[in-house]
Amino acid sequence: MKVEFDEPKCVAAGQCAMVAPDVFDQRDDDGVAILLDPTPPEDQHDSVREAAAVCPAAAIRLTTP
Amino acid sequence: MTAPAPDPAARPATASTSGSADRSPAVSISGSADRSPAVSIAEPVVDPATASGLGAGVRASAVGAPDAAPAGRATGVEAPIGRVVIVGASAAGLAAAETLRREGFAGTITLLGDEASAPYDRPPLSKQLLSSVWDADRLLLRTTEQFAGLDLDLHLSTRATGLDPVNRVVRTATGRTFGFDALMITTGVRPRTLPGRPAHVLRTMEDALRLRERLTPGCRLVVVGAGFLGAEAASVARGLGCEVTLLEPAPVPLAHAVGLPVGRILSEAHRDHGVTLRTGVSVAEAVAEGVALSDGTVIEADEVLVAIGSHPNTEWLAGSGLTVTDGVVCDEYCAAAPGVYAAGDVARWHNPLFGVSMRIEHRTNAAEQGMAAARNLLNPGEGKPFTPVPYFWSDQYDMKIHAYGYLRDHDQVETVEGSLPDRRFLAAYRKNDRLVGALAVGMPPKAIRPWRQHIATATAWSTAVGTTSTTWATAVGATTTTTGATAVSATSTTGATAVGATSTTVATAVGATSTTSGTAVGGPTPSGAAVKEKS
Ligand SMILES: Cc1cc2nc3c(=O)[nH]c(=O)nc-3n(C[C@H](O)[C@H](O)[C@H](O)COP(=O)(O)OP(=O)(O)OC[C@H]3O[C@@H](n4cnc5c(N)ncnc54)[C@H](O)[C@@H]3O)c2cc1C
Ligand code: SF4
Repeated sequence: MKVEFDEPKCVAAGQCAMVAPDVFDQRDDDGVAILLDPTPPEDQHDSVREAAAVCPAAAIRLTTP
Repeated sequence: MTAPAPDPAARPATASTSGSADRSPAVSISGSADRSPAVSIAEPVVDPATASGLGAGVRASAVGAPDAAPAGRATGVEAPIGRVVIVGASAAGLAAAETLRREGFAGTITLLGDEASAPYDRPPLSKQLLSSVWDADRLLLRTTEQFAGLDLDLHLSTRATGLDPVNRVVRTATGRTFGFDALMITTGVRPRTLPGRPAHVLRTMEDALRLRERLTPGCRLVVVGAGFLGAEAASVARGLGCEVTLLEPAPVPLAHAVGLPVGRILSEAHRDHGVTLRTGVSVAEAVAEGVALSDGTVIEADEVLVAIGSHPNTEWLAGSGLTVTDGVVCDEYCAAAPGVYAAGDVARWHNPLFGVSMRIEHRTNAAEQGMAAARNLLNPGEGKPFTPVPYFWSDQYDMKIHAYGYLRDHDQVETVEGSLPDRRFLAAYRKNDRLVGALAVGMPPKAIRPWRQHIATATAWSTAVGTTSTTWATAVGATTTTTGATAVSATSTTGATAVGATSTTVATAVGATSTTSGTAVGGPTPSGAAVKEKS
């Protein structure tokens, strides 16, 4: 799984960091998400899918290489 | 639980976007060969228990027709559900469709939507789209490939006009029928309008593009309604060089939603940015010259935007037996009847976390509820109650507002971090003895997260507020106010336990400001800006 993050779309909702804290964090100043791991390990895939689904800005895209 | 592999042969979802409003283009983006229509699920057998109508509030233990021939292809799914129809192709409907597939549902998913466009996102309509920072195609929620991967039976420009509870069939405007074993209602809301001349509203891509075209420098725009939507539009229009007048019936915009002190601070931002904010005015109708107030005064405008709330799109459910009371009434599993679920702006459900029935018009709720309802639809009998902490954000001028929880009907609001006049603060909301909400402007996410957590765990006000006792003491002195007499009495009874060491300060502060709610905000602080009140 490859995670793509469209930063300008991010509205800093923080849902991703809540659902998949090992893969997403948020910047301190404006809350915009930080993609910690663009190729997360298998055990993270479910939570990353959840994060992509719940992101209110459709800023997270998953591709399967 | 893997998503089905994208089908390269599938037709792009966007191919149907040219469909005219009343033609049912019946674009199926499924088209993969291994999904031949199974006879076993074509004609659902009607369960006598449900044949009398879709009684609301019934726990969905038996989805559809239990004795209908099971859908063999629904691998990984115990319930005999072969066909799911989702009505409303936007955030909630899409989230539901995606969740069904992620959970392994391999049956037919029919997604009906009355808009011509493939599903797009609405929050940017009043922000990046209106300000021309983004093009329209940036709003599409999913790419063509992503749609193809979902293998949907997608029908855009298709309006559902009726629900037959006995035969479990959805009817459309063109007379087509779609049978289902389980139904997901995600038809959202539409704007309320004013009598008189047609005015702008802001709900769809078309609405936003039409308005954007008119917002040229110098254009006189009247925005009726200073809620979040009206406030965002006013803010964008100012940025585009329009002369903006914002009309609001309440004395303080948004006070019912976020409380007086926060409502005042948000209103000040309008005035600081050159918007003429008139509160306490009631608009009777849109007229050729602009808008007419109920006292007969006409406020002239080149363009009028009406942002006075919305109606749930539930008319098509008339006669279905579902209970509709300001939204489709659901239980805590988002079930409106056996095998019938609702999610997003149209759904009113019982949220056990707050113990109230709520209908939430927030973007994240649409996705989260679509997901939760879809999971429950697949697992009737072992569903999970939907107990979210509602969340929304709003961009106004240079402020980014984040709100968590259920702020409506709160008894008390307190600034627990930062300061209101600086427009950098976190306000906490109390209902009874509990923390129920938090609203932040300009605060780092790490400062907000613990509050969200407290709300999610139904933390007592005393415990939650006690954790920030250092800032609490300052906050009380600087900015405490309450929303009225009930709040004050409630505070004085819980006050002693609530704030422990600072209880005396609190009691004094609350007592002092409660009688003078107009000047409470920022009262003792050097900034007089916050107390200017015009009505
Ligand atoms: C301008 C604007 C700005 C917003 N900003 C924010 C924000 O900053 N933060 C936030 O949290 N939320 C915001 N929201 C709210 C958010 O967009 C909604 O909560 C979200 O779109 C709800 O999704 P939904 O799928 O439930 O409903 P909708 O998006 O309303 O979708 C319902 C769909 O169903 C279709 N439909 C209706 N009736 C029928 C029928 N009979 N047959 C077929 N189809 C039908 C509709 O045309 C529509 O396409 C904003 C909304 C708007 C309009
Ligand atoms: S969930 Fe989406 S919008 Fe929210 S912080 Fe993460 S990427 Fe940004």
